[in-house]
Amino acid sequence: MKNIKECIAYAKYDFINLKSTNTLGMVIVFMMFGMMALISIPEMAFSILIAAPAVFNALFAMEEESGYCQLGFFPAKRSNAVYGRFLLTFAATIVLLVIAFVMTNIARSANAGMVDLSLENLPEQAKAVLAQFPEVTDMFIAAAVFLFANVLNVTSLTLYYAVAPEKEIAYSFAVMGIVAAVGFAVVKIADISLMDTIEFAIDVLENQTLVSVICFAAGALVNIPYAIIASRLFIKRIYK
Amino acid sequence: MENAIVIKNLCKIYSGFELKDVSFNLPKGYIMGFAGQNGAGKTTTIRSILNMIKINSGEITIFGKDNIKYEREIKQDVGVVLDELYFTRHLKIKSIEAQLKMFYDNWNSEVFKSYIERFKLPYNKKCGDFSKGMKMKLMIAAALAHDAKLLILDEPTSGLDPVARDELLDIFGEIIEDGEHSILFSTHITADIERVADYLTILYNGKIYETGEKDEIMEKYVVIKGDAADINEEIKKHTIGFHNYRNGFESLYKAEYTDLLPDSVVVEKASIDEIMVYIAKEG
Amino acid sequence: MNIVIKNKSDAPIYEQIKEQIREQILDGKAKENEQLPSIRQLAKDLKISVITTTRAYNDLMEEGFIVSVSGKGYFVASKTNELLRERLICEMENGLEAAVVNGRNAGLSDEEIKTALETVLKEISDSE
Repeated sequence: MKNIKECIAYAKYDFINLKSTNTLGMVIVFMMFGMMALISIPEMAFSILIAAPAVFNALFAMEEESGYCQLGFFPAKRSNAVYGRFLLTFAATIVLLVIAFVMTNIARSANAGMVDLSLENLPEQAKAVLAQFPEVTDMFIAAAVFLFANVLNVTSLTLYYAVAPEKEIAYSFAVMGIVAAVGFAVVKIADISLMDTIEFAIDVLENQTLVSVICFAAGALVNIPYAIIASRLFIKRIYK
Repeated sequence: MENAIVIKNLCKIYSGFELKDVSFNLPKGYIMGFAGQNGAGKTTTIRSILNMIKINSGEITIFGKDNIKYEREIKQDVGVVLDELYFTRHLKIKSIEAQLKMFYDNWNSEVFKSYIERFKLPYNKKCGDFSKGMKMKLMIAAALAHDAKLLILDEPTSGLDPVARDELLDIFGEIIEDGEHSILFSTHITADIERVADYLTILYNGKIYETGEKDEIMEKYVVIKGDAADINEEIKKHTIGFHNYRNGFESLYKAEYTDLLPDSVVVEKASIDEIMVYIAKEG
Repeated sequence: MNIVIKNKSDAPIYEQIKEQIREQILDGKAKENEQLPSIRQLAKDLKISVITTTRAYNDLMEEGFIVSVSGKGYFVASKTNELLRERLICEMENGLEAAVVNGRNAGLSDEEIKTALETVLKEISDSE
């Protein structure tokens, strides 16, 4: 119970850091850009949003020096800071995911002439948009992809924050493993084989326009150097 | 007597530097000054106390409890002030309070507000833009707002003007007045230690050189000066950092042997600075 | 209670505190049974260490100048306090010795010195 309280406190701590900077404004602008592009290339919105966790974490990383120090003397377990941030980025990502689904489908419906984006007949228009929602399995897959992106982020965060004794690092990795396992389990339960999942991913990639492929790749790639930088900083800190 | 901090045989090894067998106590209700050259190990010791680094061996208890096992509980009552501001730089005071109060069970907003007003800290400025003195006062206000029973300060006065330093010593006196609060502060400005500290610990090269009541330690040493010809071998035995110049010698000397000295030798009280300088000369 | 510390003096701070409190008591500036600031309050006001003020007060207690009342604090000893009385008598004897030496150096006889003492006693009684 205490741990959950602390995770939430850390999540709020991060949120306060984030909302007080102009970077939150930047993120919103970034998202608006995505939304605008969405009208012409719906799938691009998704791709951009995969990069969102990386953006959040880059922003957090800018405050790391001071944040790290202070965390050292909060009356709370330091590894809960990792989970707290995971909570925040995951929650933010879910919100973005929902927004993305909705916006994409508004665009698709508009393209198909099923809605006219006027303010009349809103209930009808809403129904038309909802009808466009992808299949539940597709949504699961999308969620799993986002989850994986977050796992990559949070692993690097774990490395960065976990200057506590080794067993806490082991616990953190264990949690990450569980999260990844849940992601795969979701895919399993939705009764899609791994091959199908991979094929689907390839389909998705093949059907994207070049621009959105680049966005997708950029989002994923941003995580990797960040993970490298974060782990090197971690190694520096753990041997302090 | 209850102790706020008890450190036994603390050891921490880095490549190129070692904290060895550091042991000292800070009794509750008192102020300890922590002196030592740059690199002597003061910051490492403080980080060890706060479990911010992993120690190789040794025991640290705070308020009688092991500092690792009871870390969360202990830190509710510990306040820290460092020489660098540790709040997120673009935050204003209200945001900082919102962050901190979630973690402390006894956060008192009224007390925080009263210190902010007393220190005249601006609500509308980002804390990263505060002056050095203001940053230090902000950290202190935060520590006092959750009624920290133990205050640990690492170089709190570095870069402060004399007025701000004086204000800090005033605040120390107020905090200590009820006998329930204890303070450990490390500093280069040894004049501050000489003034208000009850206890003193001198670190030299990762080891404790002296620890105990400040008055007692300072009375153990004197500085002697004079003609080298007036010093015999027996006297030389009790010198520390003896140095012969063209027009005489200077040395730290153990006060218990002053009766061995001839009248021609000048004897003066030793300041903490002088003690540290001569220890370093002795090598 | 007015205590001033000279930082640049060679005398240790606790000695200075003792000296000043003693003098004020002997001069009568500090009245008997007057309350002194607590050890921690004095340390705070003078911006010095608590152990220093504790030492000064402990020494003064041993010398009989002040007493500690549990739960209430420190007070100037009343004149009936034995130790203080002895101390004051000692001071008086020192003063008388000095007076005698000075008188004899001035060439006065013992009778003249006794007369001088009686004059002083009368002057002080009259002025009270």
